[in-house]
Amino acid sequence: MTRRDSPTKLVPGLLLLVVLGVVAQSIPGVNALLVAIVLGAVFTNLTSLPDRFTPGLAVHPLFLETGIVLLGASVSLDEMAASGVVVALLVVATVATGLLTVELLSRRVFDVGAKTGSVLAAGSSICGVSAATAIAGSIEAKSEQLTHAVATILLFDAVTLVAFPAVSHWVTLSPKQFGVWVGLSMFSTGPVAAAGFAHSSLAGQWATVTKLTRNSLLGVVALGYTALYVTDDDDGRLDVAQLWNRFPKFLVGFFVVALVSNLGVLSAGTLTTVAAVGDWLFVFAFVGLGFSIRLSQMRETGLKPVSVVLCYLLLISVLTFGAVSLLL
Amino acid sequence: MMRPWFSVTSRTGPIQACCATAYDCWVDLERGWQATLLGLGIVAFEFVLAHGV
Repeated sequence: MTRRDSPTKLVPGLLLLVVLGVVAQSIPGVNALLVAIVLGAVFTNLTSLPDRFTPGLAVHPLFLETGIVLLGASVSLDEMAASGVVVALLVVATVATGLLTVELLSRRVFDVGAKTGSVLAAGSSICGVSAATAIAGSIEAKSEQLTHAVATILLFDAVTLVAFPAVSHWVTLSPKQFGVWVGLSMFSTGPVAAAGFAHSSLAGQWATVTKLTRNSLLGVVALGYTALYVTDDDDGRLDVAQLWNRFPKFLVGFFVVALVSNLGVLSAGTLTTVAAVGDWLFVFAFVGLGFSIRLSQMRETGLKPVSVVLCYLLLISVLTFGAVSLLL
Repeated sequence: MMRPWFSVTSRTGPIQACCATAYDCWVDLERGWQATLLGLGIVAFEFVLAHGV
């Protein structure tokens, strides 16, 4: 929720999210989350919404994060622990491969500049826009370098948000494999969760957990980049307070709910209801995600950064597809 | 600082004052903490509905 927005100002946008969410849920035979995204994207690109809808629409990340908190109730910590080591190793390998690949493509093949390349590498390898912003701060990138990288990442968030669920019908992966694949390949946390849940609830859980594991490497990578770029001026250092500031706090709720659920405190009926509430929150959030897909912004993105990230995405998608097929 | 729409003046009662304070605290929270509180609140609500207080 944006600071200084009064509740009454939130009403029009929230109503729009809810109405489109209900429409998405009521269309039979198609995935409600995909419909929600498409409805949001169509609405924002084909109509000119009055400004009074903006504050309410901006609440959608809160729905997404609350949905992830509630997701904790469906998580089996035993199962996570059993596959955790393999997934963690896959995450480390993917992030390392991603950073090296994007850095090489940026500097040696497409010549987009070192700092733009580093911001792109962080954004595509770790957690999208937030990682790009964090690394840009660490290496003191210029605002236009960050803008190019962010626009590119947002473009691919939009494309992959539709492409991965579409591809899921033609690939033979289990829900767990698909979730981990999505969690390893896509960029920002919201679209990753969206693509996973568009496949199935279990895929959504694994996509989210895998992605959150990837996000946890942000601090290490930021410190590495800071060390790489630091010269005589060491203002870009990250301290513990900065790392905590960037830590996604909804994870605290996710783990508390997961712990409570795994202790057996909640009955099966309560778990079902909590999951249903979470599903509705995801639908509303995905309508909001659809509203963030702006075709006009996509056209403004430069071709070179897009080429770098496209090459990386194709490579990492193929590599991680093979890895999850063999190892999980 | 209280929001103008909910400012505690002589014509507002204690309930409105409480709501205004609660809303201010909520808006000042980081979104991740808002999500955590909302999520835990939903789980607690469902638990109470199922088991009683």
